[in-house]
Amino acid sequence: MSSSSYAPLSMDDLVITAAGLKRRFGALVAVDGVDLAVERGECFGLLGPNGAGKTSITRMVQAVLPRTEGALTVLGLDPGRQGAEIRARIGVVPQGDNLDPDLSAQMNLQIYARFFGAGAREAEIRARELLEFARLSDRSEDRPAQLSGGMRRRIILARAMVNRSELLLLDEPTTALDPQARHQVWTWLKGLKEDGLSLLLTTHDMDEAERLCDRLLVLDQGRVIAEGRPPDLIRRYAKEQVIEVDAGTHWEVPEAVQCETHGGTTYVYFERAQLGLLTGALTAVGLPYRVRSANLEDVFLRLTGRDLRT
Amino acid sequence: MKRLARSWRVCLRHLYMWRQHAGASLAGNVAEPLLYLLILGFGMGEMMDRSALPEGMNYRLFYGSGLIASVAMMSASFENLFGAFTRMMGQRTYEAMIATPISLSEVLVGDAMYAAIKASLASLAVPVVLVVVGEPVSPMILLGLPATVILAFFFGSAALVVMAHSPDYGWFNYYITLVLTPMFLFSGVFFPLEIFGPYAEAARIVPLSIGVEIQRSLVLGQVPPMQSIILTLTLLPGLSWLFLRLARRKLQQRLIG
Repeated sequence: MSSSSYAPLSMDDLVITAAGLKRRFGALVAVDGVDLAVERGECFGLLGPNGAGKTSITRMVQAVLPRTEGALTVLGLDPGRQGAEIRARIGVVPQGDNLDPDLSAQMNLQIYARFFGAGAREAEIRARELLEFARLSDRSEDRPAQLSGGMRRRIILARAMVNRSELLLLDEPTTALDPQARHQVWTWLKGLKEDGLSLLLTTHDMDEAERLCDRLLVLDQGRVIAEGRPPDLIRRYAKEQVIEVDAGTHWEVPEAVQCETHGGTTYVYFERAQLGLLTGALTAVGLPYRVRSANLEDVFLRLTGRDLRT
Repeated sequence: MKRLARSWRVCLRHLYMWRQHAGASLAGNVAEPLLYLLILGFGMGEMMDRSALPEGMNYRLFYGSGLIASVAMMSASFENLFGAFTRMMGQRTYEAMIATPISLSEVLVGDAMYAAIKASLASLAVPVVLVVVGEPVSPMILLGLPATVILAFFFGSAALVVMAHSPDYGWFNYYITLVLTPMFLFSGVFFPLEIFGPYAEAARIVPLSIGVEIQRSLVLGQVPPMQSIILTLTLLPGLSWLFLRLARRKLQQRLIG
């Protein structure tokens, strides 16, 4: 993918803006007054438990779901009136595999290019370019079932680039991939971002969010409950380090630190300087414990609760 | 691209897929009506009293002309029941297509276009066979092609509404058994509508009857009844438009929320 076609970054160049964005389904308020601003060239994450409103936001950005209230622009356009123009300039990477099972890799991309208005010859050339980009030129005649999960994902990513999109909407892009394939996808996405693409990433994978996102929103029940850069959010909600202590034995946690008990485990969030004090206290009462760095998963769980939701 | 151009791209995709297995598909579309034509036209037809048939017609020609319309109905319906449902659920093709500039309603129009083209081609096989077996088919039958396309588009659109509301493939049986099969049996394909006596006029506005009347006149080289022409140009497109809207509304809920 050439990077030359993308405009230079500019702080006030916003690819998505939302103000007071709402979406109701009958009595259910799926998105309840969300404000967000995604800058060109950044990877912006949407995090939240199931039902938090991530998918509804993505679909409103994709201009397939009308908004109930509020303002929304995508690439400076109004999804309510300019859906086709918006979709002509964005790429969508769905959760799971929706390639055409009866078509070869080449034809999957070629026919998709035609949906964006490419002529027959142009579509054929574009599909070849993309297969090369996905390093799957030698598998061009294979059907999806003949390819590995990682290869299919690469084709889906390539397909989202068929229109030289400026903005990619990614929904759980690495779910069900093996670790090698996941890392490959991450490397790829970082490369696209360096080329100037903007990414809107929906994920449950906190490791993925931490690696890829410049900034993110944590949503719960349709509302924004936290926003910021991953390191800042970790610092703010989970301090620097975490001690996990299996419950069952009574332990008086010092008041100076924040802690939570869920599912039989106590999580203590603290600054590095407090490490000696805490481990000393734990050793004194003879409790086994684990120390690790705080991560985005701690933030997510602290903010949205450790109990599983459906 | 304009709306219709986008729908045409959807239709082109389906036509390309069809080409992949056109042999098997055509065999099903053509072989079955041919068998019926043989059994009813040549077998049973020999036993029929011709006095009830229109002037200049034997039963082969009578039944064959009805079959032109009913093949269009069946072919378009089956395509947009089973084919479209597979694209929606199993293959998630709809989801992939609406991530492009193509909208859901444009996808559905493309589906109906494809059903109309495929079904019209299948129904063309019937007059070809009639000619091959030496029946005196009027060249005017070619004028019936636009009517076949409109009829097939109509049934393709109706099938999309059923498909959109169906939880699974089994549900199609309600529509096939309670709507399509009775229409096939009672729309004048097998016997003249005059048999219904005072209800014949009502039977003539059943969508399949409209198509049967047109093809039957044309096969004899006669101008079709004005009523059938007007209904083909008004009622069928009007209902198609309505059905496409209903299908879109349901699929919007189902696929997007």
